[in-house]
Amino acid sequence: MEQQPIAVSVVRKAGAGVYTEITVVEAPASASAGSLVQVRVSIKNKTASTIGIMVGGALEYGASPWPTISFPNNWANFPAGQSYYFDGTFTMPAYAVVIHAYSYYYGADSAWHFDDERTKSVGLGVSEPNFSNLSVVYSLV
Amino acid sequence: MIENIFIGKQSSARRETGGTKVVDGTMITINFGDTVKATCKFDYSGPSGYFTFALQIGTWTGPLGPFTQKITWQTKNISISPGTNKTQVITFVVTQVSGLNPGDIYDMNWEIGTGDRETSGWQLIERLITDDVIKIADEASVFSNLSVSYQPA
Repeated sequence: MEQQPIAVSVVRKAGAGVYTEITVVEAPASASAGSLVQVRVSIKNKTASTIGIMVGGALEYGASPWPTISFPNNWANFPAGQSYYFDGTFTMPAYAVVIHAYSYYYGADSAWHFDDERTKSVGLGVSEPNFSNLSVVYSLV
Repeated sequence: MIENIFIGKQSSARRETGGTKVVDGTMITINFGDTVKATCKFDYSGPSGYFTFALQIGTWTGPLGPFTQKITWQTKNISISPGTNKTQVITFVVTQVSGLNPGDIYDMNWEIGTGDRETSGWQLIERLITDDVIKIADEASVFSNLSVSYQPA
């Protein structure tokens, strides 16, 4: 990954995946409240040149503003036509959520521009009781 | 005297010669009337709830069971919340009226679940299998042919 994002030469009004396309949002179908949920967002550079692409994400379930998804590495320079994925996490609330994943491209105006969006639902799972690391010590009383 | 005998961690690699007592774990020797304190250590994740800890002594009749139960002790409605390195102390008394005899050696089967271990409502959650056995001491005191007669004072 290069230190600076490479800009798209012409900034166009986007929002429908003009330069990028979110191809897949991977997440479990359900998760229990309080658990750490892993999210992987795959994005494709649709242009004929290398550009800087950034990922973002938010959770829709009734909270306002929408809580964000944490992506430790949230941008990269993509070669023309190449795809790349970003891994993120969030803590599952006590509600089913809709993940909103966003892609942005880096413009010649040195700003990130929103370009594409894709959603995925994660249901609220019921966690099962689980005992582990069992051992027993005996003594007389 | 039993002094902090470590019974071992959960394992399923035992009972290769089901039906035969192979004492390759720890043998606990007790006498009738002894009160044994069992300290269970575990990690728990999941919803908080009430659980039953049950100890059966008996015989594993094959490498994977079944377990022929001789006697069961259980402590019900233990409140447990998620956490690690949790401890639960359970005591049980070994008495002659349990149908045990001096010199008997039994396997032990710890189970954690919900409900009553001795009814159809039992729901097993976790089982602790070890190579350890419990032995009724050869010299354990036994009273037999007991009878009582009464007469007016």
